[in-house]
Amino acid sequence: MIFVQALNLILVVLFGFLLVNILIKKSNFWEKVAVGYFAGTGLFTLILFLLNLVGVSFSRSHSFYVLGVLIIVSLIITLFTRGWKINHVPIFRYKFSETDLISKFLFILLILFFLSSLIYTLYWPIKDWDALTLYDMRGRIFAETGFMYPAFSIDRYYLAYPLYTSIAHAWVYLIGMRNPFFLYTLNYIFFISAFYSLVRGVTDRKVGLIIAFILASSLEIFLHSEAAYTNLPYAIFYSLGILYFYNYLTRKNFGSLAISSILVGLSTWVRSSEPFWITTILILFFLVVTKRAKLLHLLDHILIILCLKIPWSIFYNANNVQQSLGASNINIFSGLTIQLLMTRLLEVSRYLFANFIIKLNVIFVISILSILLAWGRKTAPKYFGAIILLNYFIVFGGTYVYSFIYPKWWLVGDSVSRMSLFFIPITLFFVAILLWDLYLQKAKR
Amino acid sequence: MTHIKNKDSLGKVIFIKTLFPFLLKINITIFPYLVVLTYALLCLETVTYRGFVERYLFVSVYLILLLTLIGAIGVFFKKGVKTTETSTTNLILKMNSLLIPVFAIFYWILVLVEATHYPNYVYSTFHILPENLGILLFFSIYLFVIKSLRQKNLKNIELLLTSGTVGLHKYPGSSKMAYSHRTPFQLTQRIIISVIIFLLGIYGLYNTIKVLDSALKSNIFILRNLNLTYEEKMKTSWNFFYDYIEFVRENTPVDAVIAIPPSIRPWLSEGNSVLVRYFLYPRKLKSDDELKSKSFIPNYYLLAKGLWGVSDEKMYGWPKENISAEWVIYFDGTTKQVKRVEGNYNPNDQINTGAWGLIKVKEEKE
Repeated sequence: MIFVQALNLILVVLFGFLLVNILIKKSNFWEKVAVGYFAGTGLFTLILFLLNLVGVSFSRSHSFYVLGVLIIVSLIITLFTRGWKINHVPIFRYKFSETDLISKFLFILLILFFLSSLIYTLYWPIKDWDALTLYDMRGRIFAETGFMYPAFSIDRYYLAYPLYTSIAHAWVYLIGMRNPFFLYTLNYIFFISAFYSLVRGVTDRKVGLIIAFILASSLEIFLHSEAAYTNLPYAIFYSLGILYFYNYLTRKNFGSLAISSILVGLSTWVRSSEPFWITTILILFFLVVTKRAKLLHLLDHILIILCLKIPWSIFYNANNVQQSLGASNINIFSGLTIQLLMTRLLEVSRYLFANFIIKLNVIFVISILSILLAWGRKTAPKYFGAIILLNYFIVFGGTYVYSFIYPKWWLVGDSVSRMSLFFIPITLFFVAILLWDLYLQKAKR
Repeated sequence: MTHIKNKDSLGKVIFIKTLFPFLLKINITIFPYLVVLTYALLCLETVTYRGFVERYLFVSVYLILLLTLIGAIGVFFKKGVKTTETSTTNLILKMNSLLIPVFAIFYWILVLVEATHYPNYVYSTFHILPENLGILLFFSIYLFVIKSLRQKNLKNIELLLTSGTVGLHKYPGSSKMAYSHRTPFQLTQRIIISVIIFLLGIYGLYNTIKVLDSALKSNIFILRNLNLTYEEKMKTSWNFFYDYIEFVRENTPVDAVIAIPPSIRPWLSEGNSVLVRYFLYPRKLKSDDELKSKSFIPNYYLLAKGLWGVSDEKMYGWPKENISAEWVIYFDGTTKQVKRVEGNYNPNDQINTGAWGLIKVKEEKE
């Protein structure tokens, strides 16, 4: 039984690995495995959702067949695009005995963090409020009934968020496991691995390890690895999407753009209310207008993101959930005056300062200082600074608009801080590439 | 030695070439005393309470801590001077190195003791704040790391900061000689880089201690309770609510239709249909709003005092109206005993004040 369960997990990762391998030639094995886990689980759960809409029930055998088909298709594409040879890429050989004391120490601490999180999620059942009321409850009903509609017919609240985590839970139950909590530790481990690989790729091993360690030791990130919420998965998908987008900007590698599109698109499959998916599109649009990127790339980027976003959007709107969740039914443009706009601007500013900036604290300061440092530079890190700045504007602008739609908008303070978890990894990556860029410039003299 | 050129502005002369070096000299002199003062004040707050220093000295201990942290950078990263540490500083830092394992062991022991008892146990028993010991540990590790970085003479960080003196200068790793002029832009850049690295170091170090703290506490609990059942684990997280909901689940059939209180205080848990449903599914739940708007009668009613606090004691207790009932089972959360009483439910009866239980609705004969 354990063998079957492990096999299923490996197959999901294998599917993702093959997909990433098709798109990116020059990346190391562990990066492909780590990113493949997210691409694999995201696309696999989305496909199960689509199949369920047309009558294919959630079951162990159906999920196995779907995985099989996905892997076979990926293998065929790999063979046609890469040939019979498996793509050998330099694996970052980490010889523990040859590393310095600090690196050894950080590596051991990382392993301790991973083990601690894994012990926690293997021991405890799903017990957090949101997981019990929504994510795991849906997963249990999906696994029990084989379909989604029994859950939605019980309570329309179950339509509030996309189904990535719930279908993942359902799949874990269907393959015979009793507790899907360990998935969140896997998210954490694969995230740190992918992040390390990406930072390592633009700096060096020591810097990559230090920055990855700082991310892994972030209390918010660590605690979210021990909670069955969608905030960390969302932060992972979106931040990795941003990092691969940066790779595309610096290396003009379409494969990186494709991975970025997939990950950003899948972030909307985890949480759909956040509008951050528009960021990379806007940046790429600007680059196309200033003739620094191809129009075809922009169109492909938009197409992939929308293909992944639209299924849930259509389903959600077709079930007309908005009103039942307390959204204001009035036209938001009616009754607006300059005074109301200015008053609300101040209220939102104060609200975001208390619930967003204070919560980010040092990360916010570091990101602003880094943006100032990158300002006016002619090198690639300045684009990353623009991405971070744009995300801050979206937080502000989004909250501002939201305040006119939902009457009790100020009650979601904790959600704002959890939603902005992705600022931690993208800020740390930004600092790494910026300081590395400055260091290289000085060293050249 | 700084060189003043005729074209240098007054501000540059006053700040960069006069005041700044003066401040750095002062920093080097007072640094060991600042370290001792920081240790003393942190220890004082560890055995009193947070805010003690601010109350009596009118300055926050965290401000002094911050000044010391910044002062350490000023002492150890002043380029162009071979040794900046005085003999007193060296002595203090050697003692600091000895104190790190002491603080670490002491801190983790207190964390373990707290984890094996209850929150605030250490402070209430020994009058020691474990969190402040964590800050002391963080401070001592920080000084050790800063000193180690200086001793390693990290050329990479120095190269990044490029703090060379004004005048003809040879850059590290380069054979060329070039004039180095610290423009305001370069100085600003250096300051920003320094602050970023400083904040990143603080962020990483502080979080590492917090994560290890959290990991230790959770793993200690798990090691001591390896054989807990699912029910016992849920009880640990949800306390009385889980006991009560299990009682309801055991006393209702799977096709029951159960009326639950409204989702307002004091019934934010028992009245939350999506939360209750997780434990009682596939039983159907009808909220108070649905009961009023539609004309159907459930099989059962939760008898719920309410777990969440309210200002008016009279708000506790639900249902608030008479119910024609077959029986009422009362649940005692402390003893886990149940008591069945035949007959109707009247909220004004003494037995129902502050009670928890389940009401079986009398079936109406057609």
